[in-house]
Amino acid sequence: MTPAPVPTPSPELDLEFPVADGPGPPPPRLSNEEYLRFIEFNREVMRTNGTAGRLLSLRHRPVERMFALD
Amino acid sequence: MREVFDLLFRIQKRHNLHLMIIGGWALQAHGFARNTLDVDCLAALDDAAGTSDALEKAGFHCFDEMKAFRRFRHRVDPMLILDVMTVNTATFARMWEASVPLEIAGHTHRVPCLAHLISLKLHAAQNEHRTEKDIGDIIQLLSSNPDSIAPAELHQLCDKFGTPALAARLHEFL
Repeated sequence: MTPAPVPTPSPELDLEFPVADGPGPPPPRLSNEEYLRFIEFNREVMRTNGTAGRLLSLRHRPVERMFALD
Repeated sequence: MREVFDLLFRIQKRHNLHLMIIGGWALQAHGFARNTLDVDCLAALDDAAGTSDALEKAGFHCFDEMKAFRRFRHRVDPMLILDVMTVNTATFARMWEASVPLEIAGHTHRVPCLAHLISLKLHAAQNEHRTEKDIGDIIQLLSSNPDSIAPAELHQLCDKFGTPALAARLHEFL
């Protein structure tokens, strides 16, 4: 019996991005405790590497106009 | 961070007022986790002074103040930032009524329901300097909660709190 031919890799195909056939997986979810640890870890890294001050100064300014439902 | 949530819980108990958590922590409550540097909370206008006094007594000082916002930084740990946004008392009452729980650091806090959170984000996104950040948050919220906000409801929210340009950015959900 003749073995099935092994497909030859095509450089053109290899350069193509995979085509999504759906909306994709939902974003990963963290438990609240995991999220708290994630934020505290990030804060500690920023504190250690000295980027905290710069990042805090880059925060978006809040909106001046008051929000109202009515 | 834990101490901030503990403090906010104690302030509400001691001063008999309500605060809602907004910003990045509210996104987490609705299933979208992104990095955040601070804690943002929402207070009724009537409770704004009491909240500020309590924060000052707890070691925070106000370093920036606008009509609807006060920003606080801890005197000892300047990385501890807390923003307090204010809304009129009727709006706060309606938002509180519809709010959902966020269990964090051993306490139950409240965050706005998804529709109100999106409304807040649309309101903020009208400001050019915030558009990309807030529209991105809305898209992630809608992606994380498929079928929670019907297209007709999202249309209404965009009409009321956003702009046609913002609605266009949300076309895939409309």
